[in-house]
Amino acid sequence: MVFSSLTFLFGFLPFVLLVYYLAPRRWRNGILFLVSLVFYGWGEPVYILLMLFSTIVDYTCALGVERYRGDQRRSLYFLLASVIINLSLLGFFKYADFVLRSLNSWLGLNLPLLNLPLPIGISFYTFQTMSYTIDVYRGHAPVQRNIVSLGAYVTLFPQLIAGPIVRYSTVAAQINKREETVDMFGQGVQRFVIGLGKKVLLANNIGLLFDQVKLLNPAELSSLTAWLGVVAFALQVYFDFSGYSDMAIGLGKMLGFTFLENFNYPFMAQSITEFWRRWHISLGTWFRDYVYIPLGGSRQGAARTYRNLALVWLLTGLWHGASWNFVFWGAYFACFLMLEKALLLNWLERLPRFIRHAYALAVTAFSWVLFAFEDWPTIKQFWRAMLGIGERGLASPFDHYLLANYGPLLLILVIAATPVPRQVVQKFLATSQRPRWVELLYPAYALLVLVLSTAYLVDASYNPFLYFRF
Amino acid sequence: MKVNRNLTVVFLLFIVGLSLISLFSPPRLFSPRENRYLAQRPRLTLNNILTGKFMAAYEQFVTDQFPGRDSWVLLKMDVERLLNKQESSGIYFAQDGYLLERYELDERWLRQNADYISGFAQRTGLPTTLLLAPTAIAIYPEKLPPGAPTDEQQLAWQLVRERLGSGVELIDVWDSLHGHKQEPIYFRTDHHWTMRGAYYAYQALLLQQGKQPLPLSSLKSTIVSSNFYGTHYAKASWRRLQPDEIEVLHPWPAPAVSVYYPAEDLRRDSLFVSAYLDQVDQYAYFLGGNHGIMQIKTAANNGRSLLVVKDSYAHCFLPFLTAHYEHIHVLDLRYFSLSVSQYAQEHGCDEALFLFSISQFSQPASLHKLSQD
Repeated sequence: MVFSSLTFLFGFLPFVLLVYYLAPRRWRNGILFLVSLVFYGWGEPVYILLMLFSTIVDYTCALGVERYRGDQRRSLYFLLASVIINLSLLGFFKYADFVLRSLNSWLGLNLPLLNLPLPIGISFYTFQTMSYTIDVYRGHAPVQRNIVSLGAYVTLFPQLIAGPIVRYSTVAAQINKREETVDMFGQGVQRFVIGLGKKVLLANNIGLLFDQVKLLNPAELSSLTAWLGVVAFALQVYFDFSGYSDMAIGLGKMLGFTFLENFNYPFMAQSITEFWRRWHISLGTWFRDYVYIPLGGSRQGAARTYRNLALVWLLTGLWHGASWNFVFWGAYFACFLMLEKALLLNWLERLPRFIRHAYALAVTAFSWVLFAFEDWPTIKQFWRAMLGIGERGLASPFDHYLLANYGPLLLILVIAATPVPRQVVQKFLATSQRPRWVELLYPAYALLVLVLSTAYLVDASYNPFLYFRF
Repeated sequence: MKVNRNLTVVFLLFIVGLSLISLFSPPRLFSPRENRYLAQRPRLTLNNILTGKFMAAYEQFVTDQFPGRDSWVLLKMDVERLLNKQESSGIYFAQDGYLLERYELDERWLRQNADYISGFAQRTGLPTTLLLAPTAIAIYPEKLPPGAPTDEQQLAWQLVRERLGSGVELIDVWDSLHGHKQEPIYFRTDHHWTMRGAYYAYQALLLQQGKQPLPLSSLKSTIVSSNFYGTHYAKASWRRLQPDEIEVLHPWPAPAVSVYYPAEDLRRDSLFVSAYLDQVDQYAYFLGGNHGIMQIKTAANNGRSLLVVKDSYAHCFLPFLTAHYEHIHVLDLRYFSLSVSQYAQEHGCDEALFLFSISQFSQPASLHKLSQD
């Protein structure tokens, strides 16, 4: 099930909230576990077994780690078991066909593909459950002895299918004991509604612009069309993904959980290094803490540092999807990150702010083409058009049409991608001596977004789920 | 904090309120606005759940039966228009209240359909005529939003002309329609031409066949409806548009005519069915909508018998032909599965007319049935 659906908003969610709050506190983890399984099984019921399997594996492994705390070797075996099983699940369901296809094309083989439907959100929850056992091993988190509570963590529906990647150490205390308050619920509502609006009203609608551009023959793109397409795609991915994170964080709050932030205005970044500190933060920190630093991070000389960076970014790329363009996408960022580390950051510091900003936006803009298209000829032609050396010149009559249709929406999205709206709210609404009526603006705004999102969902000809590859 | 309490109340009232209404309102069977049957509550069986069928069907059910569905959809379109969206479901919001449907040229189907007709003419030896009606977007491209993508129907028409065998005469209605584009020759909110548009095509047909068309001055014009909202209106879902008028042109006094519908064993003594003017699909006023077979008997008394294979563009066109043929056999291959050549032979047809909109002719239009013997 996805949050941005009528079934979720006007069926699942009210039901869950009702049952959750009517039940005594000690049942609540059990309820979360159960309803999360329903939430997960809604799309592909068989894969509920996968959820249960994951829960049991990590429950057992962490208990083993804890039990043999004094015995380095045995405790390590349990850790390895968890990591290997989790990575095998991910490898089997997500990467098996990719490997087979690559072998087929390199060696001229004809191995049959598995064609398994990818269990939704598998990349998110395998990383989450691995982090649990690793954190217990490292002593960063206490072991969970109640399997229902661990199950509630593994399957927790707000962040199950599209992140953020919530680490066990973040919510360990809340799983066992949490205080739900009206205040927190209201904050959750605010956050959820903003996320819903981002997904349904902004991301879905600008996605239509990218889809129109995608339909064109890439050899016939004008420069402006290509740029409109890329900007639309970047904005779609950002508002979709950060909208999902907002909804997850909001739902968490409604249920008494506090998750960490996942996005921090990435398009405001002034370098690629900074971009990745602001974009999908939970993934970046996951790779930092569980791959980059264990490999030695940047403390073992320049050569090792660059090797580690390259490895982490190839993996990050591959995490986003099982095909070569994602590997190139990761490599592309690895190059810029290494370059920045070596010299670019020093140069950039001396340049005016707007140039640094333009640099970061341009580098990410070209990266989205790698993210959006799988085949190399299309990517090349798209880049050529963006650089103004395509066959179709700078602009076409179709651009006129696209601009008329999507110009107003693009303007709204560009403003919404900056911290300006939040600053305005803080300046004028969140002051201590605000007039009473200002307080009504919050619920009025929430209601407006809810009504409009409902209208768009009822007429849902276009409501894609972008993370089916993650 | 008070703000958070208010937010909580508003949010819960909204989602719980709508859930309850949705839970307790009886499902609707049919949506007149969308002109389609709505999804009903799916059956809850273990098998349906395990295969995921139940969930997919349930999502459709909730969407189709959402309380106040039509108002939500219309609200969405108002927001879309506010943001200057110029298209909805393939329909462009053009100038002067026109809803123009995007045309997509498909060479493969144009050639294929042309071949089916050439083959039919060759096998039966009947004098065969093909009339391809442009749709409104081809006549009023200047009304489109600037740069709106659509394909050229002139190109499609050329393509068919080059492809057709010598046994088929392709009628050129372009000049005739273009010359009268200031008149209401197409509905603004429907995908059909008007009876006036059909008249100018009829005129072109008769002149190209060297015959004398009924002069427009001899026909009486009556406005039978002024509240017609057509298929494009339903598709585009934007309510702020003026309805169309339906104009009927007919000889006066009206000569006797009868239409027989064999499938229903129904006989009517008029080409026009007023009952449909009270329904959503008012275009069915002409000949009573789509039927596999219609047999028209006129007062022409010349013994001539015409076979017409058509789509619904023919419905407001055929009345003009009643002055020239005693028998008109009208087949719609979407609802007809017997052999066409055999039918023509059995009923003594001595000419064949194929009449389609270019848009219909660029798609699979069931014409493969022509190749049956």
